[in-house]
Formats: sequence, structure tokens, C-alpha cells
Amino acid sequence: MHEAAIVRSLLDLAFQAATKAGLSNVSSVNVMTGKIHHLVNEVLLLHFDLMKATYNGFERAVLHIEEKDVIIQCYACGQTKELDRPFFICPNCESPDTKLIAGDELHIISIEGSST
Amino acid sequence: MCPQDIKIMQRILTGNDQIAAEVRASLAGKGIACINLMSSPGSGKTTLLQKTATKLNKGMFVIEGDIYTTLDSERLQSAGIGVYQINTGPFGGDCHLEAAWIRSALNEIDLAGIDFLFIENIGNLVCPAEFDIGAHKNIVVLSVTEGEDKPLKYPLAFRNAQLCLISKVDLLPYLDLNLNELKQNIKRINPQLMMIEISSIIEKGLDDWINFIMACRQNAPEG
Ligand SMILES: Nc1nc2c(ncn2[C@@H]2O[C@H](COP(=O)(O)OP(=O)(O)OP(=O)(O)O)[C@@H](O)[C@H]2O)c(=O)[nH]1
Ligand SMILES: [Mg+2]
Ligand SMILES: [Zn+2]
Repeated sequence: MHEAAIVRSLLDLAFQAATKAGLSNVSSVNVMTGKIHHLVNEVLLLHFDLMKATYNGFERAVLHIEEKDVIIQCYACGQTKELDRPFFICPNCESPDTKLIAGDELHIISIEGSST
Repeated sequence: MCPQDIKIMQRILTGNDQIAAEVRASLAGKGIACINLMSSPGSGKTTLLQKTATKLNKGMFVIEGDIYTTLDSERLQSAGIGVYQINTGPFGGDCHLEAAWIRSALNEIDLAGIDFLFIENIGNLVCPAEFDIGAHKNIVVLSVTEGEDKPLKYPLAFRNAQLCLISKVDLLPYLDLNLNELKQNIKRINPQLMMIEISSIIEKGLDDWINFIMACRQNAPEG
């Protein structure tokens, strides 16, 4: 449900970057989203397509989403594990002393396009 | 036509995060502790704030987030608590509060004599968890009627909180809820998360809650 607000912030950042770089025709906006954020890709894409027309130069832009799995590192046994459930207990030794090393991303990576 | 690839590599919510950091610093500068309450609809947040006002011998103020109604604000006002209402309806019916709204609310609120600012976030466990609104402490309230599995379904809210209030524990005798399993699930999501069992009806756990609140102001507020 908060996908709309995220896409709005994303397009604001992308638009600033495009303006600064002099890109007048943006072809793609590339983002990375960690699975901990419960974002629904279809909803992100839908909002992106609805909102992009209001950003000059983004009329033909396509959103590319790279989803990141949740990965933790265990301080107790040192192992790095991918989690299929959001349990932040080490699947190997059951220590709760773990650190999230991937899956928390919510980043704009880059934009591609051309000037004129 | 010259194709370009512009690297940005920034958090998408960086704008919100910056405003949140400003709000947090500005409140801390005034000696005010800001506490954000997040939960599913109906977990007992407003009732708890009413009770809190009767126990806390300090200046408190509440920012109410609601999609449309002002019912919660009216309840608090009639209990003599200062309230500022944010209706997200006019902003497009959003399901969460953002830092910019708190910042503009603070421009209109007289904070003289206020020690604690509570923010009752919109009843929803998914979206509010994503947006830093400048609170010093984030509290997730989970009522015992919601079931053992909720922490697993909404992990981000539990990850980003510093306290979990397990509410309505007066109802436990009537429910088929395994409280230990619920707590274990909370620990799986956030092993460090502190928990307090509360009931506004039979006034259980309220002293621990008040102690937690008081400690928010003694300790230098943190992010
Ligand atoms: N049994 C029991 N009921 C409670 C308790 N606290 C609140 N309630 C009831 O739960 C219902 C919802 O309480 P509210 O305080 O409005 O909950 P809320 O979280 O503010 O609700 P929203 O703002 O609409 O999300 C009301 O009928 C309250 O009387 C409690 O400790 N025990
Ligand atoms: Mg309420
Ligand atoms: Zn381990």
C-alpha cells in the first residue's frame, strides 16, 4: 500500500538526477529492493507507469527492479545464510546474535537515457 | 542521441529520512521525547494513551494519524489531552505518516510544557514501519486477539521497534492463544526487542510502560 509513496520519492530522485545530467529522454530507472520491505513489484510498476507522465522526460521510462533475498551473518558461528522466512535466528547454530547483510535494500541504483 | 548511464545509488526514502532526522534533533533540543505507536487497527492505542495521561505526571501531547475520522482525537481531547489531528485522506488516503507531515504539524503545535510527544500512527502494520517519522522510540502494539503469527507476517514493524506492547492481556483466559509462542515469534524477528504485557482495562503492565516512557527522556534520545 505504501508503494505509491515509494514510487513518488523514487521519481523525484530520478528526476533530479536526470535534470542534473541533462538527460531529456530517460529510458530506464533501475532500483534494488530487499525482500524485507514487503513490496509488491506489480504495484510498484503500476504506480510508476501512472506517475511517470508527470515527470518531464520520463514518459517512456521503464522501471527495472532487482529484488534482493534476505541474508544474515551469524556472529556466533560466522556462517552466512539466506533466509526463506524472516527469522533472524541463525539457522545453523540458533544464535540470535545475527546481522542483516542483505535484503534491507530500498535504493535507486541508476538511470539510463539520452540527451535529446 | 548519446546514451548515458547515470549512477545514483541512494536510498529511495532519503528525503523522508533527512526530514525525520531534523524532527528528531529539534525535539531532542527542546527536551521532548517523541514516541511513535504502530499497530493493526484496534490494538488499543488510543485507550492506552488515555490511561497514560492519568498515570504520567508530565506534559504530554498526541499527534493522531487517521485516514478520515477525528474520533480518536475527540476521545483524547475529552480526557484533557492536547491533540493535533493529521488526516491523511486529503493527501490521498495514505496508509502511513511521513516525516514531512510531522514537521508541518510541529510548526502549528505549542510545545511549551510538553515533555512527551506521542504519535498514534495509522492502524496498519505494514506501511508505517517503512517511514521514519522522527520519533526517538518506535513502539509496536500487538493485541492478544491478533494471533501468534502476526510478528512473522509483519517483520519490519518488529525489526524497527524498540518495544513491543502485548496488549489486552485481560482477554487471555477467553482465548486459545499460546502466549509463549507469540513471544518466541517476536524474538525470532527481533531477538533484542523488549516486551511488556499490558491491559488498559485491568491496568496490568502500566507501571512498566510508564517507566519505559520516563526512561526515554532520561536517556539521551536515540535514533
Ligand atoms: N479487553 C480489552 N479491550 C481493550 C483494551 N484496550 C482497548 N480495548 C478495546 O479495544 C477497542 C479498540 O481500542 P482503541 O483504543 O480504539 O484502539 P486503537 O488502536 O486506538 O484503534 P485504531 O486507532 O482505530 O487503530 C475498544 O473497544 C477498546 O475498548 C484492553 O486492554 N483490554
Ligand atoms: Mg486509535
Ligand atoms: Zn550461527
